[in-house]
Amino acid sequence: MEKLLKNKMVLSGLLIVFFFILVSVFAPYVYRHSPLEQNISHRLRAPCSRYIMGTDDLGRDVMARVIAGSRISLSVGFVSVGIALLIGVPLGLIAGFYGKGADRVIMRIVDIMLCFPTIFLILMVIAFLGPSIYNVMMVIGLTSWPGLTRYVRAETLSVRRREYIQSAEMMGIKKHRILFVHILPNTIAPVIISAALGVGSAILAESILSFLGLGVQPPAPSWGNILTLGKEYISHNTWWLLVFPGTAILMTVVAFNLIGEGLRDVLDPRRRKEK
Amino acid sequence: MNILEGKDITKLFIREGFLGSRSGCVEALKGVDFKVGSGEILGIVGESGSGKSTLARIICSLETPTSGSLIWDEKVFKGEKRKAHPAQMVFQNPYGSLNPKLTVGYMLREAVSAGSLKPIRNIKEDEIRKVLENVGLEEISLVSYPHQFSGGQKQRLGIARALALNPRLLVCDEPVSALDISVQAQILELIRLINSEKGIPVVFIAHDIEVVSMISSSILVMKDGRVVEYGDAANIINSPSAAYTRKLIEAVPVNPYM
Repeated sequence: MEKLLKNKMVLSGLLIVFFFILVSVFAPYVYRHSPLEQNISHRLRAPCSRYIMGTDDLGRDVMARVIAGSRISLSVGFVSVGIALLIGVPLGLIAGFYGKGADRVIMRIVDIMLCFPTIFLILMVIAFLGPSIYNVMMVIGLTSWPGLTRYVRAETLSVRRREYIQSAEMMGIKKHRILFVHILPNTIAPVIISAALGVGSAILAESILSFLGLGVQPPAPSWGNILTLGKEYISHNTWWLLVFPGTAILMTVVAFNLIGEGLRDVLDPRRRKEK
Repeated sequence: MNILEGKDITKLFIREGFLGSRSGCVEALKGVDFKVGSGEILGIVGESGSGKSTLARIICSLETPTSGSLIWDEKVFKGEKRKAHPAQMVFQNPYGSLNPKLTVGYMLREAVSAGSLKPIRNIKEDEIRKVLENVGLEEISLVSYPHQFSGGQKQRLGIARALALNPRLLVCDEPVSALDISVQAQILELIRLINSEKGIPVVFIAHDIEVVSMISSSILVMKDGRVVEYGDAANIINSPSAAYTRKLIEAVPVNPYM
């Protein structure tokens, strides 16, 4: 844990994420504007002292909407990665540990899943189920587990062959105990890394879906659908509708990628030695 | 009386190709016979690929022989589930033989519990200490992790884990190859001590005939999955009958310090 905080990448990533979490939790109590409050007479105002990030086409405060959007983005990130972990990790463990038929079936499913371009798969499913924030979380989660499964399987295969697993087998320890006590803790490092990176890409996927109008539906705010507005009014030179939500997306995704990369450095002994 | 007897053991590794087709096979063992008497140290020597490690793994039931049988205490062994194996292995690589995520105390607690069939919670600390005493590590902290120990200490911990299971036979697969010379001697001495004090027979595997001759009472020389020579250790070292054995003995570098 100490090593984690000493790593500058992890530390700066965590600071940004904590900042967004704090803002999304407490800002609604502190900040005076509501993200849904319309004020037509103040529509499309550029940033000023009253509206720090300007207003949108209905005179809603952009800063309030970006803040409210961070809630949605973060929860989409965490929930969909949670779903992916719940599916991907057990399947990878089963495939790597039991091998044979289970391995073949699971890995073929993974191959099939990886053949689809993810974003089109998501678009298709959303088109069937209808756009809503819960569907977005579900679909992103349900399409992002195959990579995790591959990681976990590969790691399980290599840990399986270590001598301490063979020793546990010779001790007559039950299989499920070997799996959970001896194998799982040794496969968790790459899982944590790819989960951190996955949060970033899930946030990105949600923004894309909302931008395309298939994610969070207005009037509910999301970074993606604020950007859509910016696109529509781009001829009015409304740069603040693009820059602020865009920066927010960029910062969170960069933050999670920093955490992921930093964790990789900390958890991978080969990279640690280089320093 | 023989603790363990192996009769005509063969092992075929089949390489699986696309969709389960057979694309080739390797004959690792081609009919090996051996015996381990009570209190004996059997040394197995051979170059890499001679099948000595495969034999060790078969003795520990980590591999099943393609044909042939293992006879424990004059009974054919079929393997019992949920019970510690009568043979326990000490591995070559001290870094891979201990689970890096478990404390030493927990690892030994698990081993003692598997050996005595008592639940893990009921294992007391002095039982663990007693196991550690066997390998001269009674002073260590039980909450430390494997990476905090040196190679020699790790190998001792591996031996302690094997002993915690009260094995009928200790199988040491190149236990000193990964250690430096001074530590090698200590570990060899420890294995010899365990053998003489506890009367546990040992199968000792090495590629270095000098190391094997220092410790074994009988020697089995292997090449390409076959037994080249088998007999009393002193006889084989002093008057080897097979040409291959002579080559192995000649290959030992002359130690300028001896």
